[in-house]
Amino acid sequence: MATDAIILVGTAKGLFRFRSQDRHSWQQEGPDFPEAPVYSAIQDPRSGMLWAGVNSIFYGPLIHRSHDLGASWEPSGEGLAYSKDDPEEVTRVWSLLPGPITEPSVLYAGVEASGLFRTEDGGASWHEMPGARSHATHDLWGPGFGGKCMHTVAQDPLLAERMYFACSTGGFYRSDDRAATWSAKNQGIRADFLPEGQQHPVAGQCVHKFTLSAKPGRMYLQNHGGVYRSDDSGDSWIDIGHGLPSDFGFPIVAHINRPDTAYIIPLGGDSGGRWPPEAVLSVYRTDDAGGSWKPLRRGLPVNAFTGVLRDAFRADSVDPDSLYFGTTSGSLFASTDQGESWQEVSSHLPRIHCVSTATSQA
Amino acid sequence: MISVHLPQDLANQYGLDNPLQVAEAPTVVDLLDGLARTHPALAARLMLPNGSIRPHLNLFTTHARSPVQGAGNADLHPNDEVWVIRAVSGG
Repeated sequence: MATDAIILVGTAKGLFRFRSQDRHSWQQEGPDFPEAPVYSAIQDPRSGMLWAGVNSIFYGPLIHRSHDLGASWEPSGEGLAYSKDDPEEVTRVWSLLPGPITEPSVLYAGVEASGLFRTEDGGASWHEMPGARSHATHDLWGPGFGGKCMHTVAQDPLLAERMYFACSTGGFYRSDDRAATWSAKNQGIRADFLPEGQQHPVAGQCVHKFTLSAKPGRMYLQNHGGVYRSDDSGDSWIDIGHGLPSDFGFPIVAHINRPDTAYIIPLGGDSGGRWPPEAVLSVYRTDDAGGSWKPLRRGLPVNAFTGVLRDAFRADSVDPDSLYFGTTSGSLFASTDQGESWQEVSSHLPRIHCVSTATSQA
Repeated sequence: MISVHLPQDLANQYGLDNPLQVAEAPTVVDLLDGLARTHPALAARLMLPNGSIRPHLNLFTTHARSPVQGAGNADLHPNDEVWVIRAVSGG
C-alpha cells in the first residue's frame, strides 16, 4: 500500500488537508472546524495520530485529536485554562509538541497568554507547567500583533530532560529538567525595537520562530529583526542575517538531514511593509549555516503584497527535498527540490496560520 | 427538569441530546454550576473559568435574555427552557 503525503494547513477558518501519492498532484480534504481559527496542527510520529489546536471564538480554545487522519475528530480533555483567580486567560493554542519517544502519552501545548501545558495521559487531561509563567522575567513578556503567545516548543532529540520554548514577546528559554524550571537564553539576540543601550536584555526579545537542526545543539532563530544561529543549545547566538535583503521575517526552517541548510522568507519589516522586499515572494536558503544566502523564486509570484506567518513554513517530515508554505492571502506552495522551484498547490484559502506534514503510514 | 438548547455543533461534539435535560435549579447561575459538575467538558465550552458566559455566546431563558457576558442570575422555574445561542460573531 502506497504511503500518502499529507499537508495540514491551519487557517483563519478551519483546517484543510491536502493528500498526495507523488507530492505533485494534491487532493484537498476538509475543511475541518470550518468556523474556527487553527494555529497548530501536527501528526504525532509515535502514534500517527493527528492533533489540532482549535481556537473557537464561541467556545474557546480546545485541542482535538484524530485517530483516522482527520476523517473524524474528538475533543481532547476538558480544555486548557488558568485558574479562575489568574489575571491571565488561555485564549488560543499556538503550538503542539509530542513528548519524548520514551513517553508516548506525553504531549505539550504552548498557549496564549504565553504558558505551557502538558498531558501525561494521551490528552485525557491537560495541566499547566507553572515554571514558565513563574519565571523571573515573566513581567517582560508582552503581546505582539499576533498576541502574547508561546508559539514554539521543542524537545531536544538527545536529552529527554531538555526542552526549549520561545514566546513573543519574551524570548528564547531552555529547560534542563523536563519543563519544571527555565533559563532565559537570549545572549546575542538584538532587540532593535528597544531604546539604544537597552537592545540586549536578558529577556523581552521578540523571537518569531526557532527550529532545531539535524546537528545536536545547533538551532536557527528568526527574530523581529535579525536571523541567528546557536551551536550550543541556545547559550549564545550569532547573527547570520548578513547579505539578506531584509533580516525581518517570521518562519525559519531547517533541513531535516543537513544541519548547514536552513530556509527563511524575508519580509520588509517595520519600515518596509509586511510583504516581501520589492513585493517579490522569495525563499532564501543557506547551505553554509548562515554564511551566505541564495534567493529562490522560480514559481513564486511577483507583485505579491502578502506575508508568511511564523508557523506557515515547514519541511516535509519524511522527504528531505520537499518544503511547503502558506501565505496570509491563502496560497499554498510546495517545492520538491529544496526550494529551487515552487508549485502553487492551492489558492484562495483563508489566511494561513500554520502548515505541517503527515503521512498515511506514520 | 429544565431543557437546555445547545448549539447543535456543540451537542454533536460531545454526543449529547439536544435539548439537554438537566436538573431544576433556582437560577441560571445554579444551572451552570450544576452543568459544571455533571458535564464539565461542556461547561468549559460555555463558561470562562470565572463562571461567566463566554463573550460570544448569548443565553436566553423562557422569560428573558441574560446580560451579555453576565453571570446569568435570572430566576428559573420548573419546565423552563434555556437557549444557548452563538453571537453573530462569525467574521
